[in-house]
Order: sequence, then C-alpha cells, then structure tokens
Amino acid sequence: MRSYILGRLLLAIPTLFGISAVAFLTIHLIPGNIVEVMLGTRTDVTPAQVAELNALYGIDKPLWQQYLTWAGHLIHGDLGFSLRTGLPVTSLLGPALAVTAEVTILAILIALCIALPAGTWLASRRDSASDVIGRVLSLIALSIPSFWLGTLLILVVSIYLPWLSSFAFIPFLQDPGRNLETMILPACTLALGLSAILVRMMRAAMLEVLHKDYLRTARAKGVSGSRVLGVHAMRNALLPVLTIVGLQVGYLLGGAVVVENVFTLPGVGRLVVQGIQQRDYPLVQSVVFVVAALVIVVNLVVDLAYAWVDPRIRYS
Amino acid sequence: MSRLAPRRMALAGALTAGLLIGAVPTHAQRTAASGGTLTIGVTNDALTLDTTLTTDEASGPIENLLFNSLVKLDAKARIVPDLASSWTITNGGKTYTFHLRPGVMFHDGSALKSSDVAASIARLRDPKTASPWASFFTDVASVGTPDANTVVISLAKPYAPFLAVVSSFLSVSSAKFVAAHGGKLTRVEDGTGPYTLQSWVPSTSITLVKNPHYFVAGQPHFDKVVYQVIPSDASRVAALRTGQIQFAAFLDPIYFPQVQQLQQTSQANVLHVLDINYHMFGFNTKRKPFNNALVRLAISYAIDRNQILQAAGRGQGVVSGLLTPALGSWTVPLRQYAPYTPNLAKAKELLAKAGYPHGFTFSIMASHYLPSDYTAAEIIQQQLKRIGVTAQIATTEWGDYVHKWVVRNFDSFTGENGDWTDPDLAMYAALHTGGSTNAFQFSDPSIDHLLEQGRASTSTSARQSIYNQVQLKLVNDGGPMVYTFASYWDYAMSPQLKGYAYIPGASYKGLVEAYYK
Repeated sequence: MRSYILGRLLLAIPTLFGISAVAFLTIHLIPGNIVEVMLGTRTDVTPAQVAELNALYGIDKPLWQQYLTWAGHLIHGDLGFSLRTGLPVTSLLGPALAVTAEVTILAILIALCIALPAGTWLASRRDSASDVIGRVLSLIALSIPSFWLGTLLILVVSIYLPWLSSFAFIPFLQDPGRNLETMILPACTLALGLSAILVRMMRAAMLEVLHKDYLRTARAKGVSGSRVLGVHAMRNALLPVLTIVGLQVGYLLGGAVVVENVFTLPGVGRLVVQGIQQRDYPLVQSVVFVVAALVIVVNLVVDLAYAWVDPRIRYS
Repeated sequence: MSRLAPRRMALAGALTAGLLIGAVPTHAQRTAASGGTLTIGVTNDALTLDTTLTTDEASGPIENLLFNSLVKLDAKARIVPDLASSWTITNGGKTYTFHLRPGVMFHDGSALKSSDVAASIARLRDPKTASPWASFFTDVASVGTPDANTVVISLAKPYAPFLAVVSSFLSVSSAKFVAAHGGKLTRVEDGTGPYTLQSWVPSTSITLVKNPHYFVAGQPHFDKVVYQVIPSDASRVAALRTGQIQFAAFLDPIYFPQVQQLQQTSQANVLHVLDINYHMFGFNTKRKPFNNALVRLAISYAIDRNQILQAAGRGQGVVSGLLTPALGSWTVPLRQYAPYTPNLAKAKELLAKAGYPHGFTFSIMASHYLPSDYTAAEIIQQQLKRIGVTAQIATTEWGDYVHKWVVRNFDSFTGENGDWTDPDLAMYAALHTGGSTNAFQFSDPSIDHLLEQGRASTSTSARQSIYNQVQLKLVNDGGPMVYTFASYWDYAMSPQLKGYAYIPGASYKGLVEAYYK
C-alpha cells in the first residue's frame, strides 16, 4: 500500500509540471493581456504609457522568462502576487478555498443523505409505481439548472423566510451558526443535481447486486430484509457511487461559479473567473495549479477508499 | 472600456442640466441625523485604491468617499470648490491659480499643504507610476507652490476642459504617506475624504468609517459605510428587500421591473437616470467598404435606432447621438439628424452610388460582456438584410475583443463609448486623426481642425458652435460610428435614506450628504 501511494505521488510530479505549463500558456496565449484589458477601449493613452504599464506588470519580458520566474517561485511554495490587487495569491486563495471546500462537502453530504437511502429503496421496489415516480423526480432534479434554482431560492427566501437570507458571508471560524445559515441554500442548490445523479447510480448499482447469491444466502440464514439491503447490498453497491462522488469533488473544488455568484460566496470559482477576465496571470496560474493538485489528491483518496469499501481490492 | 469607474465619469456631468435629481435642501442638511451604517451592494470587489491606476468600475465608488480633488462637480453638475476654496484663470487660459481651503487634514491627522497637491500631480505624471490618466496632464508645463495654501499650474497651451479633467482625474494624497509606502497605494490610503478605510476583506466587503477631521462641518452623517460584494443583480434586489443593503445601482434593464416593484411596495425608492455612455456601431474606416463615407451613411439610414433601443435596451433609454441628452445643452436635437429617420430607399441609393448596388458581406465583432451591444449586433444584422447587406456576427471574448480593438483588427463592432464630462474628452481622442481611442482610424482634416479649435477656445458659446458642427457633420455626412441609444441606470435605496443627491457620473459622491431619517 505504502509503495502504491508513493508511486502515485511520484507520478503526480510530471502531471503537475504539465499542468503548470498548460495553466501558464493558456492564460498567456489567449488574446488580450492584462494591460489591454485594464485600459479597455476608452482610455486615452500613448504608446509610451502602454510600455510603462507593460513594464509595471512584468509582461514586457519574454514568455519563457515569465514562466521560469513563476515556476521557480512555485517550487519554493510561493504562489506569487495578484497583479491587479497587489495581494499574495495565498491570501486570496486560502479563504476562497475554505469557502469552496465547505460548500462542496456540505453539498456532497446532503446529496449522499438523500441518494443512498432513496436509491436503495427504489431498487428494492423495482418497476413499482414509487420506483417510476422516484426516477421521474430524479430526472427533474437533474434537469433543473442551478442558476435558476439558486435565483428562485434567493427570491422566495427573501420574501417568506428573510431571516434565512444572508448576503454577507461569515467565515465558519468567526461564527459557525451564521456561517451555516449562509451555506445551507447554496449547499442545497448544488446538492439537488448531485443527489439526482447519485440516486440513479445507487439504484442501478443496487439492482446489480440484489440478485447475487450471497444476498440470497444471507436471507436464507434469516438476516432481516433491511439489514440485507442496508449493510450487505449497499456496501457492494457503493463503488460506482464513490467514483462519481470523487469526480464531483474534483469538479466542485474548481468552484461552482454560478452558485457562488448567486449566493455571494467568495469562493474559488469567482476568484478564478475574475482573474481570467482581468488577465491576472499569477492569480489564475496559481489557482489552477493548486486546484489541479487537490484533484489529484482527492482521486488518490477515492482510489484508496475502494479498498475500504471492497476488501477484495488490494494495492501493491 | 465599456464601463469605467463613476469617478472617471464625473466629468460627463459637468455640463449636464437636465439630470438633476434629489438635490438636498439646505434645511435637510441642518436637520440631518447622524449615525448608523450604510451598506451598499456592489457587483465586484475593488481592485485598487490607487486612483492613478484605477480603471475598473468597482474601485471608483470607494475612492469617491476617500479622496478629494481641487475642484468637483456639484449636484447641478457645475464645477465647484473642493480642496480649493477659489481659483483664477489667467494668462489667456494657461495659468490656473488654486487657493486651498484652510484647515484641511488628511486621514492621518496631518495638514494639507500645497506641496501635497504638487506631489500628487507629479506622481500622476511620473512615467514610473504608469498612470493611464497621465495623458490628460501632458500640457502641464509646471506646478508651483508659492506658499503652503496656493498651487499655480501653468499649461503649455490653453486647454478648455482642464478644470473638468482635474475634478475627475486628480486625487490628493499626503505626500509623506505616499513616500512612506514607496508609492504602493493599492491597499492603503491617506486622503482627505469624508470616510477613511477601516477594513478590506477580499471578495467580500470594504468598510469605511467616518473621518472625524472632514473639512465640511456636520458631514458625513453615517458612522460607517460598508461596500458589500453581491455579484448577482437578483441577489441585490433580494438584499434590498430584506433590508440587508440600503443602496445599489442597477444597469441591466432586465432587473428594472424587479427594482421598480420594490418601489411600488414601499421597500425602496428608485432614481431612474440617464447614463452618460452611448451605444454605437463602429466601423474600421481603413477597410473596404467602410473606407467609403457613403457606405457608412447608407448603413446609418438603414438602421432603425428605436427598434435597437426596444430590443437591445429593453426600451430603457433614449435614442441618442454622440453626446447623450445627459450632456444637456451640448447635445444636438435628434431632429437635426437626417439618418435618424430610417429610409431604406435612400440607403440603397447611397450603396449603389458607392459602387455596392448588390450589397456586401462583412463581420460585426460583438462580446457577451456587453449584453445589450451583443443584442444590438443581432438586430443590426437583421435590419441590414433589408438593403442586401449580409452581416456575420463574430462572437468575441472580452479580452480578445479589446485586443482586436487595440490592433484595429475588425470590420466593425458594437460597443459603448463615454462622453466623460466635456465634449473635448468625448471626441478628441476618439475622432482626431491618430487619436488613441480612434480605433476606427477615422481621419477628416475638417473634423481635426474643429476639434483643435474646440480644445483651445475659452469661450463657451464658441465651443458650443464648434461641437454642434462636429456632431452634425459626423451624423449627416457618414462618420465612423452609427450612434444608437443611451441607457438608464436605476439607483435603488432604502426609504429611510434621505439627502442623497445624484451627481451624474459620480453617483457615490452624492452619498456624502445622505443620512437616515
């Protein structure tokens, strides 16, 4: 196991190097640099002033030199400074990542709390009226766009439950209660679509295992129906669900921009989108790099969790 | 850029008479209650507090309450004293002598001196600062400080909009403070404004507190002003409804019905005011067929501006020329613009005369960053089919759009332009041969001559006549742009918020006199 983890971590090094190059090149190669975007189409400037601004933001140097400078700092754990705000990227990324991680974890927990029992229950009533209704409902939930649901929730809550509507984000460590108040609606918005995917996945996986011999044996030995479903069958059906959750964590860590905008959450999505719009190179490069590194770690953790769910899986 | 910091646009209101809203009665100032917190919902976090480098729309509203200039605009959009209590213009319009108000203090408690003003001007003009606004001060020959309360600015040649430029682009900071911070003022400030920076939580909020040294007695009224970042317009409407914010500005007309509903239910008061930007359809006059003025004029005749306003602006604006009605008497009445009455027969006739009897094909660069202008491109595409002209929309990401604009790589584009605060600022750089924002590469010696005269003249009536000629010539002879419409803004505020005076282009400065009742 230890050698497996070490191997995966070593493999991550070239991956991260590739990501750093791609992150750097994509933001630099798209047309429109930081100075052009800053000046826009209405600022009366001379070519000399543009040259001064290029020098101020360091984009007058060759691209390879800019990359080596950034990558050199990165190796030393220095993510650099945001060009437009003058702040260290770490001071912007840290709080944003905390917000995104919190809403991601809450959304996944809510989705799992809905999906695991619902998927199992629907599978146990295959093709019954309730199964059909459940499948239709999950399809509807899957089809609802998060920007629509989020906006609707905001408006409805502001009218009927104004105490629950909050637009001033409070960090968890500052006030856990009020933090959860601000998190509950975005987490539910994200969880709805995710739970719909997981319900369908869980149901399908349960149907796969429900006819296995070992469950028949368990029933023959007198194990109760709920225990057969909830313990013996569910654990075996969890593998595909876990895969989906792993992929979704990676996706959500990149930031659910729409939900962050609607619910005023200062998360990673907003940070990186603003960075791209302003061509704030160090900010975008470093955020993409860190998120990519986190996705690698999350996927490793998910792979390791397979072994916990299915003891037959061994890594060596 | 399509949208600039309101502080930058302050100038556009300098000559505006028709847009005055809610000027504060004197007795209201006397009875204004003090205290409380004003929370403003803003769409983006500020990028900087260094006014010399501010170009974004989010930083200006904060700088409005932190800094002062020598002069400013009042609610009637006239140039009035700010840090300078009076000034004289001598030497044929080349020498400006400003007398500073006594007893003004910076936020750190130190006294304002003429050397601070001189240092602020020097920093703005210093190539090391790389300020995009330095070009407005190119004609400054010298800045003298004969005593601690007098600043003498000498210009190399007369420059009519100079006071308007000073009010919009010069902010005064403590020279000692600037030196102590090595000129890095992105996150710190030491202005003289009514509020001072208390805290800044990136992407979340900026909190200002009352400046106890503020030089206007009895102002400001709030103990604290919080700029709360709420990116979604729908969420800002909800926040107004729940009372979590007390002030917010809306530009997207999609949300106007919701904002106005708040007024109908007495949850907010709303000011509906005309913007100083105009929407337009611009041509690359170095490319065929737009190098031909007849083609440009034909397109102008073929376009139904009212239809564009209804579809792209949702009817929330007015059809406009180069100077919008927000600029008051500088604006030429639309009836004098012949192409503003759509005339397809005339358009086809002009096309045939230009050598394109069967039309032509070209592309319109449009960005979703400017949603109204993107829709305008779609409407124009449909309208031009009527005269046999085929337009293809080139959907372009904003950064790419700016890049193509900078390198002049487009056939045509839809976008916004600003009138700033003086016709010279609206026209010179955009229309003079070789002007820095003349992306159209338009060149007309007669227009150049008029623009040079307008800039040098110190007579308002002479300038009025000059700029009328320019506007008429540009529309009736086929200029480089087809002007379409100007939009409204909705400013929504708590019913308890009183005393707010809307200053065109500097709307947040109007909060200095606001209070709760």
